[in-house]
Order: sequence, then C-alpha cells, then structure tokens
Amino acid sequence: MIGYTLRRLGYGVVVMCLVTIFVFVIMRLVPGDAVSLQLQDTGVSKEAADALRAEFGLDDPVWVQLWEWLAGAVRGDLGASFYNKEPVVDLFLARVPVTVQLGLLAMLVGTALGLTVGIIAAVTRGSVTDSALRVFAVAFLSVPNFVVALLLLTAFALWFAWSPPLVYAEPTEDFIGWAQQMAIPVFALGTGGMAAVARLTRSSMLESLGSDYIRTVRAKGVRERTVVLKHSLRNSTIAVLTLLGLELATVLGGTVIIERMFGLPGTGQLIYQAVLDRDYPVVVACTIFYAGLFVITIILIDLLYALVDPRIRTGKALS
Amino acid sequence: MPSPPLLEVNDLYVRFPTPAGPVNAVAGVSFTVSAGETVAVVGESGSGKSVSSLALLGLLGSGNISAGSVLLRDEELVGAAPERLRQLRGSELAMIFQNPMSSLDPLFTIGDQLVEALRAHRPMARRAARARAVELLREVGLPDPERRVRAYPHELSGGQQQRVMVAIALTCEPALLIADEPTTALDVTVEAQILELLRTMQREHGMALLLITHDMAVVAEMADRVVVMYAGRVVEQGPVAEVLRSPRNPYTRALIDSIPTPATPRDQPMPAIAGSVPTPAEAPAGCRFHPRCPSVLDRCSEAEPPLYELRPGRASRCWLHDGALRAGPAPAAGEVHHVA
Ligand SMILES: Nc1ncnc2c1ncn2[C@@H]1O[C@H](COP(=O)(O)OP(=O)(O)OP(=O)(O)O)[C@@H](O)[C@H]1O
Ligand SMILES: [Mg+2]
Repeated sequence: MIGYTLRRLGYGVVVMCLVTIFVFVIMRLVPGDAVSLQLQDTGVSKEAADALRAEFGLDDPVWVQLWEWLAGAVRGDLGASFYNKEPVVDLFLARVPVTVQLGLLAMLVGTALGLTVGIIAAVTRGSVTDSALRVFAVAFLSVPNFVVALLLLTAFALWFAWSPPLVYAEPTEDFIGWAQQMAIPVFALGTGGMAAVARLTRSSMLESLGSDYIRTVRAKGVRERTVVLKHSLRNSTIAVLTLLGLELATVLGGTVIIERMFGLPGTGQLIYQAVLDRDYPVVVACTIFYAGLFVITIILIDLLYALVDPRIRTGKALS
Repeated sequence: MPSPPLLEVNDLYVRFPTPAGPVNAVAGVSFTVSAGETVAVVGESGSGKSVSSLALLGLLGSGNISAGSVLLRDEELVGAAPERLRQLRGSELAMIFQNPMSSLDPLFTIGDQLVEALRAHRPMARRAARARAVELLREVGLPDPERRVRAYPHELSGGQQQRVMVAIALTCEPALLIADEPTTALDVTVEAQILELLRTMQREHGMALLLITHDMAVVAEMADRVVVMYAGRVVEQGPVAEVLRSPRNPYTRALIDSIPTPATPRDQPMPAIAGSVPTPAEAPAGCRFHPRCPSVLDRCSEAEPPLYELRPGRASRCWLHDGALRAGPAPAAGEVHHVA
C-alpha cells in the first residue's frame, strides 16, 4: 500500500516537471514578449528595450533561461513578475485560497448533487422521474459552465432583481457576502460534473442492482434502502471516483473564465492576465500550481479507491 | 397423506417483458415441498428452474408472477406485500446461488455480510452477531473461522465462498433452503463436499431443501422427490428412486441416459440430448419437447399433452399415457388428468 502510494507520488512529480518545462518553453515560442508588450506605443528606443530584455534574461537561449529558473525554483524562488517586480510566490499565495475554495466547493456540490440525482434515477428506472432527470443531466452536460453562469446571472437579475456583490469578501470577514458571491460560480462550475456524475452513478448502479451479490443481499431479507445505499452505491463509487479526476481538470479550467466573470481574485484571473502580458514567471508558477493540485487529487482518488475496494488494497487488480 | 406441505406451488406462471412482447418463462408449474424433505428440480439450461425459484422469493427483477399461487404454510405469497416478502426472505426462505464467486459483495468482509443477515430479522448486538458469525462459519466447515470472518470474498476459494453462502442462508434457521445449482461452478471434489454439507445442515437444522440442478446424478444422491422441468413446464414428477428406475416421460429418460458412466470422459460433463431447450418466445406448438423427442407421435406437434397423474404423487406430461384415456376431446394443456 505504501509502495503503491509512493509510486503514484513519483509519477506525479515527473508529470509536474514535464508540464512545467513544456509550459516554460511554449510560452517563449509564442510571438511577443513582456518587454515589447509593455513598451508598445511608448516610443522607447530599441536599445532601451534590449537592455530591459537583458535584465529579465530574455535574451538568453531558452535552455539557459530554463536552467536558471530551475536553479531558483529548487531554492523556492520562482522569480518575480515582469510587471510589478513582486515575487511570484507572494503574488500567487494571495490568490490560491479563492481558487481552492471555488474548485473544492464546485467539486463537492457537483458530486453530491450528481450522486443524488443518479441514485434517484437508478431506483426509479424507466419512470417519468428517471427520464426527466436524464434530460436535465444531458442539458447540463452539453452547456458550457460560463453559459450556465450567464443564464443564472440573468435569471436572478430579471426575476429576483438580485445580483451577486461585485467585490470579493473573505469568508472570515463577511460570510454572507462571500456566500452570495460564490453561489453562482460554484454552481455553474459544478453542473458539468454533476451531470457526468449523475449519468455514471445511474448506469453503474443499474449494473450493480442487477448483479449476483445484490441478489444475495436481497435474499437475506435486507431492507431495500440498505441494498441501494450501502451495497449498490458503494460498488458504484469506484467508477465515479475515476470520473472525479477528470472532472477536476474541467473545473480548474473553468475557474479561469468564471473568476474573471465574477471578479474573484483567484489564480485563474492571475494566469489569464499573465498569459496576455507574457509574464512568464507568473504563468509558470500558476501552471505548477494547477498541475500540482491535479496530481494531488489523482493520488487522493487512488487512495480512496484502495479505501473502498479491498481487492486494490491487497494488490489484486480489478478484472 | 402426512402433514400438509410446507410449500405448495400451484399453476405458477412467470412473465418477462421482452422487446418482442411478454413471454412466459414458467408456464403452469406446480409442486409441493414438505417440511424436512429434499425435492430436486431438474432440467436442462433454460428450462425455467431459476426463474421458478426466484419467483418464490419475490426476486424476479423485471419479471412478475402473472398467475398461480405459492403457499408457504398456507400463507399466500403471490401478491403479498413486498415488506412481508422481505421479512420471509432470509428468515423462512433462504437461497444460495449457482455462482459463489459473484454472489458475495466484494467490498464487505465475510463477517459483515453474515452480521447483516443476522441483524436483518432480529435485534442483535453487533458483538453477539459477530460471535454467532464465527460459530456459523465453523459449522459450515470453513477452516480458521476467527480469521476468515475478517476476510474479503476474493480471499476465499469458490468452495469456501459457497460455504459462506450456506452459512448466510442458515443465519435465521429457515424452514426451506433453495439451492440453485449450488455446485455447477465448482470442481468435482468440491461439489461432493458442498453436497455433503447441504445434507448435514439439512439434517441438523431440519430444513426442507429445494435443490435445483441439471445433473441427474446429483438428484439420485440427494433428493426424496424429483420435479423434471422442460421449457417452463413440469414434465414429470415423483419419488426419486421410482422416477430413476422407471421414467415415464421421454425427456426424463433422455436426462437419465445422459448421466455420465465411469466410461464417459470426465471433461465432458454431460453427454447432452441433441438440440437445446427453446426460449419461451420460440416454444413450439404442441408438446414443447417434440422436436427433440425420440418417441414423437403425429399428435405431439398438434396439441400439448396434459400432465397425467399416473397415481398419487407420480405424474408425467406425454401423449404416450393417453392409451388409458376415455375417448373425448383433447384436454387443455396444464390441466391435470387422472388416469384410472
Ligand atoms: N430477465 C429475463 N428476461 C427475459 N427472459 C428471461 C429472463 N430471465 C430468464 N428468462 C428466460 O427464462 C427461461 C428460463 O430461464 P432460467 O434461468 O430459469 O433457466 P434455468 O433452468 O435456471 O437454466 P440454467 O440451468 O441455465 O440455470 C430462459 O429461456 C430465459 O431466456
Ligand atoms: Mg438457473
């Protein structure tokens, strides 16, 4: 079990390194750099611009820049923003909590709603409820999350004359304000996952409800509620866990747009602006964060697998 | 006759919805099981044995009982409230299945699954249930029960898993244990052990056993009476010794002829009767067995023979018994005819 976790962790680190290097190089291949964008239309001479490039090290070959960056990174120094010269680490740590809150809540809400909808659809299979829930799930699956967000914003504004506050408040300072501001973003980000989880929960519960071991549980005279919520649900969790890893990628991608739409000061906004500005150190730092979050989640999911399924725990592969 | 039967199945019909319309997988099955008795239900694959037994427990899934009656100690189970059936399952009627490897929930320990069965029908402290679980595992001959109670199903062999299934079935001392081909998925030595276990448990707990099988050798070894099924119908029934010695129905005779002799190669489990059982949707007109029957008559394809009661407790569904009948219109299928 420990070996298994360590191996996963090893893979994770390798993936993060590869992603970092990839982004590092790709950013520098994109036309335009921070200097030309900053000095655009200012009439600064080419010599002055080159001097600035030299200061940032942008005139070195890519591999030299990469080497220097890595040398800093291993000491915990991810460089400074090309714009306000603030250390990237500080800039970034200030933004992380918002994105983590948003992503985590979206995943939680999406999973909880998805499981609920999936279970109801599975036990009412073939009924009107089942069909309605499935249509609803497909609808949410096919509409991008920013569209859901826009629709919700419009609906609340039109029907209830309500719109979320524009300035972000820390939950510790103003919980109500925070909740009001987070509600629509969380829901919009969670819906895609909710629909996917609902569909998968329904189909894997139907499969397990028709299985031999469920027949045994029923033959023991166990209450139907226990059959569904204990045995069938738990056996369906394995498939759903796999999906959650993929879902996280979608949710994290979604935060970039959603944070901008709702003025949430998270890493999504940071990376968005940094890409436009070619602020390489910030982009790379954000990338590491996203990749790291993803890798950690995948490892957590693997651990959860083992927690749910004793066959994985004892090293016997699932058929 | 002795005391009234424990279980009385009368003219049972089970219907499944299919894309091509509803089909009757079981059509007019009747039999009885007395307390403490072993009744074998025998027939080839697809003859409706599992469907009949699942119907008794109300575990048909997409199918339903469309006609007939199932009396357990004079209580009607057809149309009974689902909650009543749930109470009876596990406590009065227990069942073990063909494939022990897939019949236990892979995510729970053996102990948890036994404890769940123990506590489904009577209040019992967790610790007491745990101790009882170990006792039951010991009783069914699982080695090292204190340790095995914490094992997961995948850590046991097929034979051990079937022992666990027997233990689960015994938790509430059922009046009737239904064993649906309990040894088909196991190898020959394990098969003998499980059959022996069933026999011992039956004797010690005084249960009735409804043993479903497609193996006439198992019938000979285990049962008091036998019910032979073909394509959803009962084609012959009677005391085992008598039916084996002088089968009256051509299908039964074919099944008996297919018992492997010592000369039969071991890897060929059962020299099959040519052809296969028709699905309910494609059951032929007339006698359902006639396309495969060695003794087929002209009328066999025209009308289905009734189940002739040859003498009390002995019946067969075949036109060959018609010789003793008075002239008259052909009786409707499913109707029982008394032959003087
Ligand atoms: N859910 C279902 N839907 C439709 N038809 C079914 C269903 N279950 C069983 N049947 C049909 O009922 C018939 C009898 O099936 P059953 O499982 O009772 O056979 P069996 O005698 O137990 O055979 P085996 O020895 O293979 O277990 C089969 O022809 C099968 O096609
Ligand atoms: Mg069967």
